[in-house]
Amino acid sequence: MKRKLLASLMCAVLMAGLLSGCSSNEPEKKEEPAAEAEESAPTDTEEGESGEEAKTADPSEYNVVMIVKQSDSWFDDMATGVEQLRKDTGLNVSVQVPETGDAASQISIMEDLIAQGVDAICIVPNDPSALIPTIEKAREAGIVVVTHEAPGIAENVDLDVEAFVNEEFGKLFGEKLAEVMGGEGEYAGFVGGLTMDTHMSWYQAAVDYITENYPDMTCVTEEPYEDGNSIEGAHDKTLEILTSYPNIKGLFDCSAHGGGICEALREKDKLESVKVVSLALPSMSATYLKDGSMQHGQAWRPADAGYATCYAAYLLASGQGLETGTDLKITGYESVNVEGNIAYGNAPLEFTADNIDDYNF
Amino acid sequence: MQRIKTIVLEDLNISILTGVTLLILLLCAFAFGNSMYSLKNIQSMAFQIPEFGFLALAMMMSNLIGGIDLSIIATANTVAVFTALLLNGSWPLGLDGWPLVIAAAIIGMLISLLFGLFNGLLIARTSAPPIIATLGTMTLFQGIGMALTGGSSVGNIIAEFAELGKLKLLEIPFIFWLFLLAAGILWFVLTYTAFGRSLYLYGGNSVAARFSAISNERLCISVFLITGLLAGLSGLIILSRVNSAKVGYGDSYLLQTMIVCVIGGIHPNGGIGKVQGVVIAVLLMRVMSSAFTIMSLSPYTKKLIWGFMLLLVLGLNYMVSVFYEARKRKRERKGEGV
Repeated sequence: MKRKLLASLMCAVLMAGLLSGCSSNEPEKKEEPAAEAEESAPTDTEEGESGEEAKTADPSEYNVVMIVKQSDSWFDDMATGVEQLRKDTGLNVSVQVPETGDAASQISIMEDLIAQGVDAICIVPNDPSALIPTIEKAREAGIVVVTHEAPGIAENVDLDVEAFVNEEFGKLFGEKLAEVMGGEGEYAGFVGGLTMDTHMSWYQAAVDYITENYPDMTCVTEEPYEDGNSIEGAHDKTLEILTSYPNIKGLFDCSAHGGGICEALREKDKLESVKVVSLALPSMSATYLKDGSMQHGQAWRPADAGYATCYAAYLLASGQGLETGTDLKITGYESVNVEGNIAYGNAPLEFTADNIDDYNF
Repeated sequence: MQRIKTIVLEDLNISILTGVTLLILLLCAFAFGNSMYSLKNIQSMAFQIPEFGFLALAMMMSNLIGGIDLSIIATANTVAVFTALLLNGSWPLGLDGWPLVIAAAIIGMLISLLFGLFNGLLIARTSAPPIIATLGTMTLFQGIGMALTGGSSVGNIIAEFAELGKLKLLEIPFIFWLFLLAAGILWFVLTYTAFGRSLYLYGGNSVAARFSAISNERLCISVFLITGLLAGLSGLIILSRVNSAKVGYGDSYLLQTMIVCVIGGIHPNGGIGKVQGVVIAVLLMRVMSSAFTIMSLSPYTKKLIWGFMLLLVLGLNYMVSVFYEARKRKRERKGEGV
């Protein structure tokens, strides 16, 4: 009996050893970022104490966190912009990337950040209205909240930074689509998801513009198609559309996955008859623009938007404020136009086969 | 010593899980100190746990009978949509203030029971594999929500309901109490009632259960009723926290609930597992997520660590059970000798 007890004890010890052995990978991994966190923690508390008396303008005293939607080339580019801002100004700024493009994970990260007591949170909301209570919570805790791509909830945040007026950008889709289609024929539009406000407002603006100016063009569906923010989604839905609407002459995509449409058109040998206009990222769409399967691409530079958004957050957190004409130190945002709680830059980018190589994001 | 040993050995899964959790809690204390264990952060975690916790409990119930319920997120969101429509007056009930909140919550729960009943009937009556049946109902429930909202979110609900999401009792969020209460009730039902026993039996071996005069059909329907109700409650909690309802909220929770159940020692083939395990696993998951945010890890690193955790707990469980099986056999042989 004693020997058995001993044996099981040995086992327990072994298990414990194994446990700590296995998980010792984690503390090592945690070591470095933890050190960073510790470094930034003291500045936080100092901020809390001294912040009320006199706010310093020194960017390195401020802790700004940007929460993006998910990890893809768009938001990776945005992260490089944020990193650039860190290098340029010394602002203590970092990027949080949710595991999935879902409001729940953004809320969860934001709640954690509120508990950490950062100075400002910048966020590109997946689902703006779902974030409102969390945004209120953050602001009650004295945290500056700046959004990007969320004009719908501007009254709930300290500031919303937009690269342009959404309706204008949406109109551009319509304008270009009408142009490449010659002003007539059936067309359909895509958005990333029906729940994405910016995509929806571009879509609506594009459709409204076409209905108003090109009576010979008809949109085949009431609601836009969803490509689920993926090339596969756009590809599969396009095949569906080609089957249901064989006379389709033009497609536009408000998410940056128009490449999937081009792939599907190529498979069905419809490249000649169906024109494509899409939100475009040079890294994702350059090939399609250059081989002529996509006629027009448009976007704004995510890196610049990230830069401007975080810089605006710093200006607000440090009490310097922001007004029409303020320079956010980056192309397209040299002189923002502030209306209510929204700061508009002037930074739309149009891509064609000729200029696509000038951009490398 | 003997006593500790019996306690530890009584339920190895839970002991291992508790060990790993304590280890990680300690590591976090060591690495982050105050930023992890401040009252603020703990409260913030307690606010975040329930919506996911209820979903995990729902997934656990369906796993216990060897099934799976893929429709829990869809149920939660669609119930939230229904309730939101009642609460913002789109579908007037002729009530206002707290009576409206209570009425809407009750109707929300009834709808979730209805969804659960539908799942249960589908699976029990047609003997459809739960994974297929609930894949279908997931799309169906989502579709109902989509048809009602067109994909946009339903907001403007009366302020009283949102208060529930912010309410604190004894410094602990009200919704966290709800979660504890639900877990407690489930624990009691599963451990001490005839229903609980027959549920484990059905999950472990449904044929044997049938021969033991257990009505498999009724049991299956009851389990999916409970699953539906738990998912619906999660929807109500989401609604109270987010102040709006929308189809597609929390889609990423589905996979996470499965991970949490497996880590919590629920056997996916049914019949084995305890509520405590799932509750501990939910806590563990939340603490780790918080730690990830503090460290601003990239999503790839996060996934890597989740996968590693899953393998660690599963691997340990397997190794330990193999070891004890071998020992038991040895002891039995010895017993025969005497």
